[in-house]
Amino acid sequence: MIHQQPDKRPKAQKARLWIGAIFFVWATVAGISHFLTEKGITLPFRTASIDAICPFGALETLYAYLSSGSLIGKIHPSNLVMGLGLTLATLAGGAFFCGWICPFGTLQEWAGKLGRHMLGRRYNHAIPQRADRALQYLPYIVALFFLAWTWTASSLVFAQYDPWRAFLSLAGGEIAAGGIIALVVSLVGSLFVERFWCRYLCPMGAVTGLVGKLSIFKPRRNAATCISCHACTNACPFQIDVEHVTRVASAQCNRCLKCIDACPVKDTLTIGS
Amino acid sequence: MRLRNSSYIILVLALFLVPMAVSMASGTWTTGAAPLSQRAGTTQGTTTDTGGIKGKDTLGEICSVYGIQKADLLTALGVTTDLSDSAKSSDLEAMFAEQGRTWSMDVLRGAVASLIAH
Repeated sequence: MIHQQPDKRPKAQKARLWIGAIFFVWATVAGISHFLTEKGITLPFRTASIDAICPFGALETLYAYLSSGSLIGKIHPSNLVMGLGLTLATLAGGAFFCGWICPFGTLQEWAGKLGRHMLGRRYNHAIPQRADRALQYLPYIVALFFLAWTWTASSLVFAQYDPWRAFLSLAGGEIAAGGIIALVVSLVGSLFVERFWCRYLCPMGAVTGLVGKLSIFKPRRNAATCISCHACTNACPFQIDVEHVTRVASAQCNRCLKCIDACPVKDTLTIGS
Repeated sequence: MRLRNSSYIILVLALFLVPMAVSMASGTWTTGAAPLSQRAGTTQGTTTDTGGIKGKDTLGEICSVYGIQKADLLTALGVTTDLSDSAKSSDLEAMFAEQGRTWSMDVLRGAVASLIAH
């Protein structure tokens, strides 16, 4: 049975945009407020530092925490708590954090809307498929490199190259050249390729993607009712070949649910265990 | 087992947010108000990471936590005026401005790090 979508934008995509915007505003307000507090401006509420509200901090301090029970500088218990929440959520539902919560992912997606407007159908096809496939291994190298460096130096070295931190630093913090370069490359790249940073560089995305492969709930395709219309594969911003698998186990899948929303046959593509 | 999109979203959001809510409610969310001794990272029992030094920390606290002399720190910073133990980075920033030098917290962190290394 063909299931007609009455709305131009399905409910899940509206929810995703709203949830992404809420987390973006929360993280931005927290970051900017912290800079203002450090400059001696009194605010009616207390805010954590921007380093304290990133779940990647849990992995960065993991070695120090397990070996000596201490946290590396700038890392707070909140990082461990967010790391725990992220692990639970990822084991249950895959890399949901990347597609729904990460404020830098949301920022790139907004840049992508501008890119789609500028480039039309050429958007997200700027990099040849073979190069794209090869570049998708880069986040694993970035993750290994920064985790090894962080664990041996016992210091938050990634802060100097973190594009999200650099974005918030524009409001008045100490600006790191590496972070600004990563920010500019990511946002300019996102004008041509969907979520450039997530796709080719993000160390946390590499880890959540790998853990997400073990997740209980994944997009699943019912081959018996599938009409092979290519709508799911065409809708995937990471060009995952959804129409030729029965369950989407790709580490690139950030559970945006666009494939499910695009499927014209009811109950053919669903989230399931 | 199949989930509706809405059930999936609620389930995963809850798994992510509940630990945060519990931590915030129990007051264990951050150590932002903790003294420098707790914020400073340690390696094999020695305080080596200067990244935790903040603008609110006094020179006295910094010297005490990292085991360095205030006079050595001021010399490393190129400050000739003696400052009290209660002086903060804002006082150092003012001295740098008088000397026409650019201040950042990394200057202080770097000076402390170099003294630890010696």
